[in-house]
Amino acid sequence: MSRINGGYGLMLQISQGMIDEAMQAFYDSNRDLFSSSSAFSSEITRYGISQRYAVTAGLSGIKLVLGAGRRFELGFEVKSSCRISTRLAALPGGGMPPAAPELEVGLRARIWIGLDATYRRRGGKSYLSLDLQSMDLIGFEFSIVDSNVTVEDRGLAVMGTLIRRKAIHIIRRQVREIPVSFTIKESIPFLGTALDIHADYKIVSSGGAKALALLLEVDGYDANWDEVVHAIPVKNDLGLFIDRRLLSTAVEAAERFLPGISLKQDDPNNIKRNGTFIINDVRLSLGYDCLNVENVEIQLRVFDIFQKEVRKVICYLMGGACGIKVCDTILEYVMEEVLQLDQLANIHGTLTPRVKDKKIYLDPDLDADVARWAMFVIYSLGATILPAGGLITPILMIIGDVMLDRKVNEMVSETTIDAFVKQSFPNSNLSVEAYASDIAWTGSTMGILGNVEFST
Amino acid sequence: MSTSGKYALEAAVAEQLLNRLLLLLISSGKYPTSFLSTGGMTDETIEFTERHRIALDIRKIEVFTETGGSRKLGLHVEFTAEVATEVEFKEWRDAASGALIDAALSDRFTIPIAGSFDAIGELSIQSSGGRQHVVLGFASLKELKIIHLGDLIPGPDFTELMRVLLERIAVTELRLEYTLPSLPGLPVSLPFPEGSLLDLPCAELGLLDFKSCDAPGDSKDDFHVLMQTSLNQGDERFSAVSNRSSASVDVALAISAKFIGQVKQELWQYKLIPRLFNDSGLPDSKGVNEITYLSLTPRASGVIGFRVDMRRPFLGGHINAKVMVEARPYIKDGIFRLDVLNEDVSLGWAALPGRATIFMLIYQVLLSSLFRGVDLLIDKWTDELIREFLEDLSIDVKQRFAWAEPGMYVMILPNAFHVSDLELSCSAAIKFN
Repeated sequence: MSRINGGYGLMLQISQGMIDEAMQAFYDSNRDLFSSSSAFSSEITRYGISQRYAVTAGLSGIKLVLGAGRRFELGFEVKSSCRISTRLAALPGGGMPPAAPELEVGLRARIWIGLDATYRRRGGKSYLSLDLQSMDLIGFEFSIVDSNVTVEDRGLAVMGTLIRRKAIHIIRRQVREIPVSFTIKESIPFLGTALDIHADYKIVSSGGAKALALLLEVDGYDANWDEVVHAIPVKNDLGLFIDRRLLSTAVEAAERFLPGISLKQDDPNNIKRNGTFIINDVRLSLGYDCLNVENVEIQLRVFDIFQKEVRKVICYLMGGACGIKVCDTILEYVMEEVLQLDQLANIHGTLTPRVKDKKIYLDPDLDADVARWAMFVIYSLGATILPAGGLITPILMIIGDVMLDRKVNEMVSETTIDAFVKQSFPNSNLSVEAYASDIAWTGSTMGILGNVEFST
Repeated sequence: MSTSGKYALEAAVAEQLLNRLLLLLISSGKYPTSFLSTGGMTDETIEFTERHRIALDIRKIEVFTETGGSRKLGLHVEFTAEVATEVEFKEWRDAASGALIDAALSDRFTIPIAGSFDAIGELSIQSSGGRQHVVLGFASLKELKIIHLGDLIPGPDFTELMRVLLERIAVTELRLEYTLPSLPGLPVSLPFPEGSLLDLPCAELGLLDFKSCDAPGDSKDDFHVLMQTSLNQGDERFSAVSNRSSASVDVALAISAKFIGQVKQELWQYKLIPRLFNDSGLPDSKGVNEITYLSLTPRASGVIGFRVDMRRPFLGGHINAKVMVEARPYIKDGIFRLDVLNEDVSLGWAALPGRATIFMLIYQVLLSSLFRGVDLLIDKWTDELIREFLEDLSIDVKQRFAWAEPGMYVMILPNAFHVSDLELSCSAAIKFN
């Protein structure tokens, strides 16, 4: 059976649209890097002639196209001008020197380069970045848009080379790298010990749709880069795919948090009644598209509050020290908790992850061998404890540090996951949060499909 | 025949002579005709180098006068130029991996240019070695025109930039190179005296002026240095100065009748003209023939009237005699001659002393003063010269002088002599060697 994630423990697929947004944000935050100007002066002292040659070049319209495999294609619009300014000094005894016309040639070009990406580290995190030093020129076309000089074919070849080299210099030496992903932490800590993981990437496509897949390989998993395929629907910006093996491991780890948890609940229908339970044992397993609650054994107690008649004898002395002892018997009424039910109960069923209002929650379908009137005691077990401990915690254990800068090594209290990615793009002021829209299960993965919200 | 501007001395130089002089100075290497400037730039970030050169070659250069006559003189220059640019993009490789980033490219662009310009010079008078010269200096060009710009049509702005650059190169080189070591400009006159025309009170220089005359018809354009003495200042008429040059005339020297009279008077007064002659007609301090009066009168008819009064001892007293000659002077083959129309000698013994005195009037008064227009001091009279004159009324007037700056010899070959009631003038051809 083919694995859409190729066996990688964690796979994040990012759509072309999201990459376009990231490219523009990087450009907007670093405009200065994308332009260059140089000027040279030349003087002929004997004739009082000074000339200034100024060449400016600016890149804009950045467009990154996902190629295939590990290859990207990056395109820019280039705007350049070459200007020659001439000044004549006044001659001794001469009048005002004549003004010399400026010669200016304005050019516009489109340049395409092919290149790979590489992971770079910053502040303990990694991000995928286009390595502009290793670029190959794959396309270049240009034209003169504005000129007061007529340039013939050979001159055009020179102008074209000049603008092309200026653009390449800006790309290689000034910009140097462009982040193509937000930062992730190459770390999946499980209960204090981190799994060894290695980052890779692949450009995947399906029909006309392409996506960039960030791949985190877990040591010991038999990851196969060639198997990785396009897996996010067109409507989604990104998809986070957790390998089932990794999720199972996390579920097993989280199981240990549950035994010993106890909770006291009041009966909402009877103010005189309350109950407590304590979890004795938990057995969970990952189903195809849900978490199977194989068995949860609890100790269940229900207490009622009754009014009890208590007789009290009170004696007192009449007439003083020689008096008589008179005793009265009075009745008092006190409230007392009385144990009504004390039993071991078992709960089993399923918890199915779903998405509502951009939040991942677990939809419980649980049975318990408990009398209906005592069900109130274990309500929170199904509503909060099992969801939090059973699947929310394992998911956050896997993706917390990688995607949310949140190391989870104990049971969490949340019963939902809001944003499943909260990261920023390096070297730009763009931050991204991803919210779920669907859960998609495959034979090898649990996928969280979602859309992103950008902020600057 | 020109009208007289009534300047004491006027030295007119034909435009053609100035052009010959210019050509001589250029061919002898005193003035360069090729100018080159280079420049370039390098941008190491993109492995780019550019080198350019502008070369200007002067093909033809001529002096010209402006229409209407003025105190300006111009230089017309025709040139070719070449603007060449060499660009080189070296093969660009990644320093670390050696991978090719961009292929090499080099090319050379050459634009041949042909054009012309007129430079109107500023005239000024400069002294050098006791002489004065009119020199032409350049501060600007009238306009530099580009006639031809290779096979390219680079646009009006490019053409204008080339024009401005070439104009600046041209005017700078004219200013800096077209001078002689002791003269800060191009000489446009033959030398003329500094301070005083002759060593006489009446010859003190009061006013210097110059005029370029545009020639009508067959006359040639010429350039006049106008010298007026302090004594006669106010008599001059600038507007009356006009062309004197023609096909055979390179230089024309004119002296006003008034000034020549003043010179004669002072030379006589200061006894600088011999008064005693012997019977052979030669000046002799022991001579018995004493000159008592002499005059030289130019007439509108082109004739000069000479009168010499003299006496000699006779019987304890003196006997007076008079010689009156009307003659038309002319020059042929460099020899000044008198064509005598009328001669009246009252007594026979007076003939030779009379003729000798006429020689003195011509040689010492007229010719010496005339040649001062080019700052030339002719040799003092000799008995040999007088005998030649007495024999056939001729004087060899060919002159040669060294012109220290620009370092050449000037041969003046007089070929015509004109007389009017206002002036006497001598025309000459010039040879340089």
